[in-house]
Amino acid sequence: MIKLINIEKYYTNKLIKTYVLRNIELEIKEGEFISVMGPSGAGKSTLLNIIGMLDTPSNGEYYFYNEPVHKMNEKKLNELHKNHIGFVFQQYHLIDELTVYENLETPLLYQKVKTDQRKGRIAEILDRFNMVAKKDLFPNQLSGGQQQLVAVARAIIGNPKLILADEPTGNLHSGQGREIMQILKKLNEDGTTIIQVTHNEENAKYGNRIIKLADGWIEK
Amino acid sequence: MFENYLKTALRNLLQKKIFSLINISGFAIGICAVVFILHYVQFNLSYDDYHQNADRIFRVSVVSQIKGSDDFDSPVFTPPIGPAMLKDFPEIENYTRYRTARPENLIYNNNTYKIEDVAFAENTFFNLFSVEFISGNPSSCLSAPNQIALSKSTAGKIFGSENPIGKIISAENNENYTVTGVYEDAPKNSELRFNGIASFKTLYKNVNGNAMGWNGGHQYMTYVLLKKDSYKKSVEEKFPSFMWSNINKYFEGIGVKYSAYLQPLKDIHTEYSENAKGLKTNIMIFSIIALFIILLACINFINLFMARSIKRNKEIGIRKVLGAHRKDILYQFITESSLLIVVSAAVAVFLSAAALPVYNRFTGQEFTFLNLLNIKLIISALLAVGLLCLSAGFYPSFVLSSFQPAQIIKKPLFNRPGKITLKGALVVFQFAISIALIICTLLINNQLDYIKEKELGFDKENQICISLSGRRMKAEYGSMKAEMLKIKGVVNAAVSSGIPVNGFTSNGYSPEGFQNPIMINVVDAEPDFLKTYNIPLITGRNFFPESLADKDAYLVNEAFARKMNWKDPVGKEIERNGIHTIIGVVKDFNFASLHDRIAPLIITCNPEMGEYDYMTVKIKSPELISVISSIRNVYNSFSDGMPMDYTFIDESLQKVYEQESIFREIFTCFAFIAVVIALLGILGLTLFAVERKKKEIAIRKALGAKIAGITLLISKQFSLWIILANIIAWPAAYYFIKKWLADYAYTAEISFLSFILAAAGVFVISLIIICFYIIRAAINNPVESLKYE
Repeated sequence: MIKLINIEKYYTNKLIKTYVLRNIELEIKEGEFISVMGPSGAGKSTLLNIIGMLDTPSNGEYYFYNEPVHKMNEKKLNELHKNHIGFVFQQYHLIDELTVYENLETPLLYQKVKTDQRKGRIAEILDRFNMVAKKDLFPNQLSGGQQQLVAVARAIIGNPKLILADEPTGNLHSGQGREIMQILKKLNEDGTTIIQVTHNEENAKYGNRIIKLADGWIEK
Repeated sequence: MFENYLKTALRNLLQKKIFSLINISGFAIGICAVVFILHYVQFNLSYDDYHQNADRIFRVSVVSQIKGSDDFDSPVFTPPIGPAMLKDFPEIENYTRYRTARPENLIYNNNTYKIEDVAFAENTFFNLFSVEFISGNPSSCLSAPNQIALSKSTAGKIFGSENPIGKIISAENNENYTVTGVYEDAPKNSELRFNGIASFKTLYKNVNGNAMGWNGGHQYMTYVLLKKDSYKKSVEEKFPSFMWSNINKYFEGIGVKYSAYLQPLKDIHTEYSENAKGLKTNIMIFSIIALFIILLACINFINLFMARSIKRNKEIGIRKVLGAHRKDILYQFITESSLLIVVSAAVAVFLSAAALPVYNRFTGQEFTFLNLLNIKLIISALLAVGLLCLSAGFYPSFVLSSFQPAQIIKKPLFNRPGKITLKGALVVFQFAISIALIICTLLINNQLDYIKEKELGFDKENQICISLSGRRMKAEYGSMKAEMLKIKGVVNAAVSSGIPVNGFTSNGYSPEGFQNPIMINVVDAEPDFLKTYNIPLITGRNFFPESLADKDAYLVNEAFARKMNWKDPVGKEIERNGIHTIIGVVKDFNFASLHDRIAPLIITCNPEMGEYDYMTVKIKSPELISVISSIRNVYNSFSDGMPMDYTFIDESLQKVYEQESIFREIFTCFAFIAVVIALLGILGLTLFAVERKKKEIAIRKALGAKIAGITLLISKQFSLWIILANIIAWPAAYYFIKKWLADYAYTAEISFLSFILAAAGVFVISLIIICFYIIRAAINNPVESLKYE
């Protein structure tokens, strides 16, 4: 599904290159649940962003379903990213001005899903996450766990093939964290590929493969 | 999707109240100003375009070139040019002419009605111009002498509910007129608004053909209607030979040449009317200011939008992660700014309704709110608003939408210090406009005060000026004056052919040493004129009172002597219908507006037409009210029922500058609005700067910095901007005011103080705003700001 060949990322400041990622060779098959681990500044989030097409590598090749992402224009990238990839962040990143319902609706709007279908999908996911009663609340009226629940719901509403989760439980207490991890595990069992970044050994165990990053290198 | 954008926009608008308020008030005022300017321009451009044949109607204007005088362009000419054109030019389909409109006292049932703007015209007037008749026949109502057609409102004034057709009204000159038609009043946007049109033939039934000839009186306007496929140019090409054979060849010997040209009817108001110049200046100046106001509002919008972008970045990042393309973000922000502007436009509608009385006072018209709501205006206003939405929304949207989501989500962007940012440039521009407008306001006020206060060279206080009306009064003015002088409180009185307010008429004179006549201003005044107006005599003597010996003598002013280069003018001679000797020189006084230098002047005591038109009565101030009623009594005993028409000279002088004082008010008001909008922008930016620097302030304070030091740190940048703004504003304001003053012959000094005052004012006010917020933030306990980080 994903193939990274010699991916590098660096920033140039006053002619000095600062590397964030070096020589990343990685292949991920459909249906895998991968945990990326490593100390702060190892390049975990950057790797995730590159895979999620939110950031571009400085060097290297990236194939998504055998399509060369590194050669695509912005429009094609946008199409690929919005139709196949869902994101979950540590800070939830809900849109403060929109209600739960509207937050869930937003990705579908960008995917240009028809009104009837859209309503159906939102209703279904609200039901699945037990949030029907909360659909008209704004993010600041919810607890952190509830917010992350909405964020996960929003990430999967478009039926993505790949979910990228950047420390999804980092801001939650353990009970809430477990709930989120259970949901991700369930999604994986249903066929969704998941890549998560985590510091937490326990959470890492939900995955079936662990990739360790240090100073931008993958530890073998 | 659109709904989603709209929701976000609306919630943002409601949440950020101060910023919404700053933006909406700025845009609303800007839109309101633009609506009025658009209406003003549109209204003035629409003059006389309602006539069916408007595109084919032209006014004939004649440039008089007289040796020794300045060229003089006027549509008022002798009467035969119209008929001759119809005969000689195949392009001309028809013509009409009228004697320039004047006020007439019309008498019906022993009641006298003063009717302004009565013209004498031919039936063809109604062929050329679209005038709607209520009763009477437009093709015959002016066919015979002593006929008159009245406007609906005039007919109503005189006859009430009676049917006016066939009624006889008499005029001051003992002519009787039969009312033969009633027509709808001309619309406001017409240069041809006559309250009555009497038949042309009335004027000349008793006069031999001479006055109707090419060398007759210059009192007639001529309009021609071109045939459908004819062009103005082809007519104008034939004018030189036409004018030569009809008039110029006879006048060549005395150095006079007339050149005719055509003025398109629809352009007369804006290009050729008396007010055209002032009108154009007004349109230009107020358009610029309206544009400035809109620009300032846009700058506020852009700056505040960008300042908020730090907070909006997160949203943009999330939306991009959720699949938004850059285009989607762009649309979203344009929707957002459009919503703001639409709300502002709605506010502007109410604002316009509220500001309508001010606008009416300025234009001297009575527009209703419905007048503003015409289709053309709405469309152009919508276009302007649409353009605004795009332009104000586009830049920030463009920038914001370009951010990479990965960067925004992780951490906010930092402003790099020390770089000339767009924000800085915009703020400098804003300050520059404000400062320039304040300077101009101060200097305009300076100039207009100067004009108000300037010594005119004659006594303008407590001078009552009465129009002499009726044969009897004009003949017996001597006895009337004697009666006036008997009134306690009347100091002096004198009759004259004009009053020193709007200028005197001019005639051709040939002073010694001049072959050809030159045009010189002249006033006919009895000897007491100088005493009444307190105009000093420099050399020679005044006219002897009631002596026929001086009937051919002239007084001249200093400007005349200067122009002739005569050291001692007394005894020199001037020719006009005989030889006239100069007996004295009076000190220069401003008999016209201060736009013009004092021109050469001749004073005679022997009116050419045999009659004086005005009596000026100088009174002692305290007894004003009783004196006026005594004056009215005297007047009535000579007036044969005509009501007394009087003005105070100083008030009439004020009226000359009425347009200017209204201009001053509007300009000051606009400038004030612009400055307020600019300051609102500064306020908004300060709030943001403080918001963003809260943490920095707190850290510095925790490290031991003093409040003064912190304030200085932040206000340093604003001070730099203000200094830069002054560098731009000063020369711009100086240039503008120089241009504006060029229109005045007498100008106040351009005071450097105004520049300093404007700069200091803006500086101090901005600094107060900035310091207030910074100090408020700095006083806070640093822990407050730090603990949430």
